[in-house]
Amino acid sequence: MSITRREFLKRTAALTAASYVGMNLPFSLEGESHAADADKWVKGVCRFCGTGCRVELGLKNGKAVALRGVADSRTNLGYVCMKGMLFYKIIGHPDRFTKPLYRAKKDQPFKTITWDEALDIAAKEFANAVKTSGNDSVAYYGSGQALTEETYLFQKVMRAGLQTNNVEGNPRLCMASAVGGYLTSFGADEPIGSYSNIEKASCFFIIGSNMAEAHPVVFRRVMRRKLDNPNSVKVINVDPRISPTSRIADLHLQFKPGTDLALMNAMANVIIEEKLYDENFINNYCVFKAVEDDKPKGVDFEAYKKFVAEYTPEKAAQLCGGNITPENIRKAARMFAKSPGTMSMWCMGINQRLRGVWANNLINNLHMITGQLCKPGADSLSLTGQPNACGGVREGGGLCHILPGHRPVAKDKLRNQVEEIWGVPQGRIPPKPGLHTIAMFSAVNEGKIKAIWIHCTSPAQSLPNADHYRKGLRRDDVFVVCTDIFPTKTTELANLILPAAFHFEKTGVYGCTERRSQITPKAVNPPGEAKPEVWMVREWALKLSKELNDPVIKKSVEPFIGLEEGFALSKAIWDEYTQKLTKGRDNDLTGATYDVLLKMADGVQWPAPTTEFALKGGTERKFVKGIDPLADKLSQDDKPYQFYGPAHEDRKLYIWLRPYNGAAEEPDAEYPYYLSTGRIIDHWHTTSMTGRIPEIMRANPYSYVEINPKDAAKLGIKPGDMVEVESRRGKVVMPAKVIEGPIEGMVFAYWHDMDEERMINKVCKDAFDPGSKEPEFKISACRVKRVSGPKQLKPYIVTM
Amino acid sequence: MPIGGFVVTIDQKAKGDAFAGLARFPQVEIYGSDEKGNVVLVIESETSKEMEKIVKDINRVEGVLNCVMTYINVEDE
Ligand code: SF4
Repeated sequence: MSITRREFLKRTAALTAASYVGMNLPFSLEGESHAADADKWVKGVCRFCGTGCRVELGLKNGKAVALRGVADSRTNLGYVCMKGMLFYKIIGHPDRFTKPLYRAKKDQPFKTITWDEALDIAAKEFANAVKTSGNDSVAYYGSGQALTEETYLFQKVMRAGLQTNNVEGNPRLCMASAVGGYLTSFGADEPIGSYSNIEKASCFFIIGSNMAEAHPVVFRRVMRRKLDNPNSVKVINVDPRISPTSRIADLHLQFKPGTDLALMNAMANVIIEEKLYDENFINNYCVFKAVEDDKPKGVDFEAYKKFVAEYTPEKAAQLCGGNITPENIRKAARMFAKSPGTMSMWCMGINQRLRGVWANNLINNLHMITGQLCKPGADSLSLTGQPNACGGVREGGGLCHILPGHRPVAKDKLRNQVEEIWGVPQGRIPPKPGLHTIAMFSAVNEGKIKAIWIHCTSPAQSLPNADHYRKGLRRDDVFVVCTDIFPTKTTELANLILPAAFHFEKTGVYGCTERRSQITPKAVNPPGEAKPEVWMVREWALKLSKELNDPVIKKSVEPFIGLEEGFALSKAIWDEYTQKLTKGRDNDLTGATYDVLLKMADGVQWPAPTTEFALKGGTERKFVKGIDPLADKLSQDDKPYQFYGPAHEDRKLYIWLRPYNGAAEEPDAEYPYYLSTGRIIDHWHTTSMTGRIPEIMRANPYSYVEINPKDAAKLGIKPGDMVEVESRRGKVVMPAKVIEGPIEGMVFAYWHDMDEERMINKVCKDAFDPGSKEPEFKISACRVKRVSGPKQLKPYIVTM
Repeated sequence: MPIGGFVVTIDQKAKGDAFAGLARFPQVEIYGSDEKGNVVLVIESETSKEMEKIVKDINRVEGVLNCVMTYINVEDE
């Protein structure tokens, strides 16, 4: 019997879901006469987080009508989350920028101009800045959401064309400490293993991450592993907040913010005391490092043992507070060390800290001393927030100190290599790293940066101590260009807004958490006159070259002149980047051509030096002979693991002696509460996209602050009351959510709200990690008071 | 009216609560379940946001550990 169209679609949905879990349903759709749900499916990658879920966009008559996960993708096994699936609403949204907009002064209204005029203005302003104030008076500030091709081309024009390393991006705000941790611990950035370790792990150490909400698809795999092996698999969840992630934990350790450094040193102490360490692994692959007079110094196992011995479980339990007991610490240490394969996973709770690199090192230490690396189920895996912070920014040269292919700018040999590949004169790229994010926006404040291009991000809202840095962006002698799709708190401060193409409206590659690059080809046209950014950069560079009468600027985009912008241009940029800049480097993507990427269900993990190897998916576990082709090629002895990472010439892993130090600003009598901030699952970052989906705004119109019931009782705060959260930098007023979430003495506020009254980043401290330069969003001191009962609030997003 | 296909994972120890909780959503139709705690369901809602809200509420149902999507059709939205 024939079924209705809706029934047909429901059955399609049910059959898709059932097929993923191997369930048989008592019907099929064979023989149904209904038109298919979509006439074309285009594979791409989700736009909304670093998990890298592979998705397919279904088109009917050129319009997006359906989405589904890709079942044979190794990142998500076909599963996706609801948030990720809402991006189709942005394609064709009426608020999209569709024409270039300009104003000479920031108090004037914007007027529509042509692309030619827009790029002329951008070229003249950058050229004038260079002529009058020098090359370092211009800057680029990019994004972990930009495509690799975009980041690569922007930084090439800035470095080789405009001769400045003022190239930065918002990953500095979220994962720079993980980079610092990997480089100093393992000598190489990015995780050694892959998500595929989850199905082999016997112990999960989840710290500083609410993965159940922030990375639900990865969490599903962890949860499945635990449920399928309830007795043999253990989950340790370590966080100052109780979150849905704790639901599957065997052990939940709740501690005072920042004290996890003491906790992890104490775990190392237990592991050594109880002889649970892997002597073989340590002797074969590791050395110990301390810091003396600001310089690393080699020490021995005895020195390390003595160092961690100070962190007795009793002392650490006292420092950590919360529910931590000496016995809990011992239990966690034993679970970690004794399991056949232990996997750590963490996110912003570890990275956004004054001692974020140290916290990363201490996680990595636990893996090194127990030999929980390189074997099945064992890995130290930093989860990433944005979809292309790894691929574009870390690998593609999107930070002030690194060139493409993990090459530090300051290394003459590597810098010269890049100049040679690009065919620009030696000495063209300055040897000094540029300004990191906080330094860059401080220079904007001081008027030292005269022209800045902000791409696909909103620092006016996302920087800590935001009011302080918005002063500079408001200056009329600072020319601000924004490439974006929607109005933001930053486009409010721009002179020139360039309308950008969105996901599936252009072609390019994202590289996710697990070193995997995946392509998303153009499937629909951008609205109005919106253009892919790679087109904008190329055309701007050609105009700049004329303005500055400098043929080398033209040279930086010469291979791309005249190429069609929707696919061919991106392909040529990817080819140059992978074939010339990654070849022979640890992130070798030579085999991952567009042809290969388009064939793959799920992309390619580097190193992937040949197409044959890339077609198998690339390297699942780095440094392991027989799995990683570079480990075989660069092998220096008969040991199974070869740590060839570019940052450790001695090819050793470094176990660091890192003490517990407090946060930059601890609570005191005046500001007695810890303030921590984070993201609500429904909204993406600054709500410039999700805030425009009316249904999301109706359900989650504004930020609120979570307060522990005990603190709420002390402060006389009831659920929904309006509460003032004030620090030494500013204050906000937001509704209270009284919840057994944050530990007593801590409040937790969401940072997505654009409303001036509720923008919590005005309150956060801009102290940053001296190693990674990543700000400490997760800890500062505040005071909290009730200002009134519940109030009707208006949601707010920037419009033009 | 979007239609979405989902896999919900429930804690077998709280199976009764989980199914009772899921049955309370008029927009949710359960298509099948297995002994591993997988439940296949379809949500049909007025808007995709309503669907998102339902997913959020499903995540809060006693005994539900995770709710992920595999497919969404939005041709009418
Ligand atoms: S988990 Fe992340 S990548 Fe996957 S669908 Fe959700 S938002 Fe997208």
